[in-house]
Amino acid sequence: MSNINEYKTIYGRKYDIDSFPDKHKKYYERIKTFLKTKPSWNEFSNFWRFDMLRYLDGYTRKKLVELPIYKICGDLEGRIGIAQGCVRKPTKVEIFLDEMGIQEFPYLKS
Amino acid sequence: MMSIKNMHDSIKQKIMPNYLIETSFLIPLTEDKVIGNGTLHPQSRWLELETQLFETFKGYTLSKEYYDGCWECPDTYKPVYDTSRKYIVALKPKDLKKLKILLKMAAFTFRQEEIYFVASGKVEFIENEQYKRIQNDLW
Repeated sequence: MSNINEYKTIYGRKYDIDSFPDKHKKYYERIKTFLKTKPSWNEFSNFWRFDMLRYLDGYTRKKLVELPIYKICGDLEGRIGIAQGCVRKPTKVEIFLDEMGIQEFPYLKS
Repeated sequence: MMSIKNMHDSIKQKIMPNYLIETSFLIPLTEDKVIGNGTLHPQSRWLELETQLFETFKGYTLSKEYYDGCWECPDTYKPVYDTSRKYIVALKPKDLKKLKILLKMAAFTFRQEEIYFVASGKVEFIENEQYKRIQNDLW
C-alpha cells in the first residue's frame, strides 16, 4: 500500500512527510497554504528560502539546504516553473545524475 | 597603550570598507542556441544557483519581472533575443571575486556564452571560460 503522505519530486526522489519533525510538517502545510495564493514562479522563488530560515529557527543556512523540506520546496518551485512554461522537465540523464547525487553546478567553496 | 590586536583591528577597520555594493546579473530562461540547444533549463540548475547565493552571500533579491533583451551574437553577427531572470545581490567588496567565480560557473552550467553582470553601475560580461577555451583550440 502506498503511503499517502509521501512526496515524490520531479526527479523521482521520495520523501515521507510523516517522518518529518513536527515543525517541518507544519512548514510543509504553510507552504501548501501559500501555494493556494497562486504565486508566480519568481514570487515563490523569492519567498520560501528566507521564510523557511525564519520559520525553522536554529538551522544554519548550510544545514537548512540539506533538509528534505528544503528539497521539497525547491521541487515545488520547479513544478510552478514548469506549469508557467519557464522550466523544462528533467531528461532521463538528468534524473540519473540526480539519483547518483551528481550536481551539474560546480560547488563554490566558501 | 594600544595592544597589537587592537591596533590590527583599528587598521583593518580603516582599510576594509564597511559598506556593501549592489550587484545584479541576468540569467536567460533558455540555453544559448550556439553553445546549448536553446531549450529551457531544468529546475536543478536554478535550485543549485539559488542555493549557492543563499548560502554564500546571505541574501539576494529576484526580480518579479522578466527582462527581454537583444544582443548581437559575436559568432554569427545575428541578433539574439532572450528573456532573463534578474538577481540582485548586495555584498562586501571583498566578496565580489567570489560572485564572479560563481557566475563563471553559471555561464557554463546555464550554457551561456557570457553573463551580463553589473557592479556599482559598471557593466561587465562574465565569460564562459570553458567555451572560450574550446573555441580558441578550434581556431
